[in-house]
Amino acid sequence: MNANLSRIVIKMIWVQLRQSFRALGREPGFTAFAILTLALGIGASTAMFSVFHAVLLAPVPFADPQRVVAINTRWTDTGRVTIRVSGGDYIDLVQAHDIFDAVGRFHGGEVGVQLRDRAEWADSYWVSPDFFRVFEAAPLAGRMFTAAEAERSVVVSPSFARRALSGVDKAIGQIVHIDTHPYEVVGVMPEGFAFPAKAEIWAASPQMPDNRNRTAFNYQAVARLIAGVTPAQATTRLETLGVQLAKAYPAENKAKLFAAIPVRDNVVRKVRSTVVLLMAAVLLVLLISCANVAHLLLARAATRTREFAVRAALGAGGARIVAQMLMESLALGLAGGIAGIAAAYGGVRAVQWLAPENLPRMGDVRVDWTVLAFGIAVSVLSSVLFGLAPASQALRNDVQDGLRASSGRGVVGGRSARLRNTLVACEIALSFALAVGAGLLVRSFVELNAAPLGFRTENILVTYAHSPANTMPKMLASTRFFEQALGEIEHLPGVKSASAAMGLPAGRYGSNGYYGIDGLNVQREAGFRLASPRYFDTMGIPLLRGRDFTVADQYDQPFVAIVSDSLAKKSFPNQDPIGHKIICGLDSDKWMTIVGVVGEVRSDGPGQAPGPELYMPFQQHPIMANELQIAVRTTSAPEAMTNAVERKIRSLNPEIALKTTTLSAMISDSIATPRFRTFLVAVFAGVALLLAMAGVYGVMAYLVTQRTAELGLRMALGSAPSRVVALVLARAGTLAATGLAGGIALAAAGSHLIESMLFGVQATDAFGYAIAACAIALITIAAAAIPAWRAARIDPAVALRQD
Amino acid sequence: MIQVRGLTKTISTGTHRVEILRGIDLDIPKGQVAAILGPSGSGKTTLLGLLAGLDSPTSGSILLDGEEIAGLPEDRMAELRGRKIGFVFQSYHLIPTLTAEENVLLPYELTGGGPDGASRARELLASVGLAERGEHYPVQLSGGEQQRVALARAFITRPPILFADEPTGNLDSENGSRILDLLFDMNRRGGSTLVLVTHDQELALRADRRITLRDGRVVADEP
Repeated sequence: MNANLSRIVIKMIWVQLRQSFRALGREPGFTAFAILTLALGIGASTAMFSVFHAVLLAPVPFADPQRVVAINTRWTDTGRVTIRVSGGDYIDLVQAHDIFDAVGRFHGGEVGVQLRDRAEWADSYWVSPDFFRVFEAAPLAGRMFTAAEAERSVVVSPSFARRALSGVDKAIGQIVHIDTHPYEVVGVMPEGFAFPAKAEIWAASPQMPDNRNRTAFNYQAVARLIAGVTPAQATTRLETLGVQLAKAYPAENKAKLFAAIPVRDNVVRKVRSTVVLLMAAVLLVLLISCANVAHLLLARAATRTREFAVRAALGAGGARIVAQMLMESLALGLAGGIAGIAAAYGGVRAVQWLAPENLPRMGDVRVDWTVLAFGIAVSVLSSVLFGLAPASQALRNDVQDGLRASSGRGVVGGRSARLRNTLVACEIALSFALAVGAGLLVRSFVELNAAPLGFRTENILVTYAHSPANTMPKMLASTRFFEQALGEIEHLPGVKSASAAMGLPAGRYGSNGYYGIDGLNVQREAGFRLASPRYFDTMGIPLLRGRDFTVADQYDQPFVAIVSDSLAKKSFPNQDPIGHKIICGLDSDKWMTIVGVVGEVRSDGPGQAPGPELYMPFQQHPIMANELQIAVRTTSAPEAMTNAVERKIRSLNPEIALKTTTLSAMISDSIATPRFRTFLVAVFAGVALLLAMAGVYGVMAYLVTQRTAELGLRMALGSAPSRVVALVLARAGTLAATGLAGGIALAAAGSHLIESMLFGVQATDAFGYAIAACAIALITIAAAAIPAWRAARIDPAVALRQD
Repeated sequence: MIQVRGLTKTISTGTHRVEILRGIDLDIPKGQVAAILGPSGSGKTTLLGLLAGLDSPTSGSILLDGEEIAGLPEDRMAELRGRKIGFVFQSYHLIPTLTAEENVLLPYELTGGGPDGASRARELLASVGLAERGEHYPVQLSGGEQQRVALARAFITRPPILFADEPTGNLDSENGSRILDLLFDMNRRGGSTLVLVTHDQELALRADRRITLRDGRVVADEP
């Protein structure tokens, strides 16, 4: 019996779906528009969900991923958080055996690696022996290194093994050199293991860090929690430890606490707000799509009043009519969903192409089963969402009135019209909010590009150069090599000046920490940079006082330093800093004499305010100076000089790893994330505005059709066509005004979402709102123009005969 | 059997009330063919709507086969219409997106009919001379053909009561006459009660009984 009933129900659903598809097929224009609208909304949201899912939701590919945490340092006085820990603190943290199964440490980045026949840059990390225990990772080939193999062994990624070591099988036992130091390859990690992101070499480092001070945050720590311990519980335990350390080391650990953050959250922390914003924006587009289709269906339902009345007269109850309407919506939703999901495949590729290189986990973005399930769920939910309004409308029809109604004409005014107007007003409100967001982001991006950087970016070639060195004589030799290289590069045709730095603005490397000044028992923080003579001149950083570094500022000469204007003003108020002594913990405990003051520089890219900087001559800090960025100012397009500069450097030292770009490209890369989100939000806002425009057009066109007789009568009674046009435009204007009122409230309520992403513009910027309002006004006029024009051309005689 | 007692229908226009039916009492026995006549505005279509449960009365009682329908909730009423009532409308009222056969089948599906619906629909279409037109859409059929499809639809659920509102009103005399022949023939074979509203005296003469309304009251009731 039950099986029979199920069969009958399935048959009824199938028959209804078939009829719905056929009915849609008989209205190709309506159907195509509705499917296209839905495909836009569903496709965009599915594509964006694939990013949202891969970046923020998908578990990291480790065993028991919820137990893998990163340990961060947080200052209670400033609220600042760093993903790093100091060596001294790390030694205490690993003792928390009551919460950690294993604790590991790593540091590193892209470094020059010497292979048999060449040198190249590779993402290399020095990791403690327990690092892999944290992830419970096993090698694909070979073995993991042991605590006894510190500074002797490495494990490599399969891609590195294939590229540099003739393959996974042949990699084991080979030697790679980093800073002239030989490391034996003892293992190859499996394909999916990529922590830290893009890592290719994991070199064994000692169980405990070399640098044990508590003010240099050189390491990142990861840990595996004991089963049953949550990150929150671990954080509570670490905070207790932090308080104890603050008491034991008040000078260094005052106001310093630690937190255990799920490793996934730590990896994506910088992009979380961007991805959430994009998902929210795309969901607004989806909502607008649904509203658009809903009011199209409402208009269609209004012309089907008689059909519903006939069905009711023949025995269809309310549930049956609602089911029929929802089934029709479902047919539309499924068609839109199929088109949308197909579009999402292209959308994912587009997003991956557009995404900045540093957006984590983008390699994992794909349309998988979870994303497909999302797409299908969105299609079905959308169907219900846009199908409810017409279904409820159909339910309210009076059977007798419906039977008396003419077949092709709906009812002017009434609940259906109010509902349609409300939907379009909502579309306008949502698209206005998106337009405001997009406008603010665009303005912010323009401001970002216009921000004074403190240096000139044009015609500067940047070559990252890693000169292998692991002893002081070799490091000193490296500094001499760089001096020689700079001299010879400067003589190349097309070169105006050549210089080098560690910590080029918007570059990958840099250092920061506390500095002290003579006569003051105060520690302040600054960026630490190494620079060659003529660096400031090459970069266009103004020398405000004193002198530049010279070739005479060598390792065996008195140590000198140049400070930025803000450091000078902060640490030497109303004084001339020249001649004062300064010290920092970069690599030496020697006091340095300040010999110059230079202008402010946005070292971390245009989005970050300039901060205090301490520049030191690279020759006096050889430990940090074997990896420099050579900045070459050229007379023409800098890219053209790439080969000449690289050839010159390699002719002096073939073991050097080189990588070349331009300063403009580096600055551009540093704002890749804002550019990415601005572009996508602007695209979504554009789509939203187009959909809203279609919505306004639909309502106005329907209105004119329904009121043809009335408009004809008005014209017969002497109304000029211009008055009819004004009537239609005024109606559209009312809709737009209603939508704008809602949109302003919505935009204001959502402003906190983008507040932190704005640069040089307020989230409540009136100009941004005004521009968005103008956009809405324009699309409203454009959308209403055709129906208004059509209304003005109504022939009164023909119109009156239609009634 | 249809029993009507003290039936009134009043509508309010906001400023004043209009009494459309002013106390109708009627008994229409099972199997009878009754024609309701009257000038425009006499209330005959309103009476038909009330008898068919398409509208609710202001006061009074309507019993269909002993079941009170006045005041029934709409879903219950729809279920009762599907089970007991067949309709033939003046304007045919076919669903434009369904084929002729699907239109005929519609009441059957709405009342949860069994698996023999399609064959019965084809049978009925054949009986009205449209065996070859089952896959055609309403727009592809003439007015007479559409009304024949509507007739087939009215009989698919074998309703005990059939209501017809000006069934030939939109047809020329030749098609009208053919429709009437079919209507009476199918009704006789089905043994249902038939209530039809018409202006057409000739048609009324073919009925077992003629009920004349004027100003919302029964002014004549003759066999």
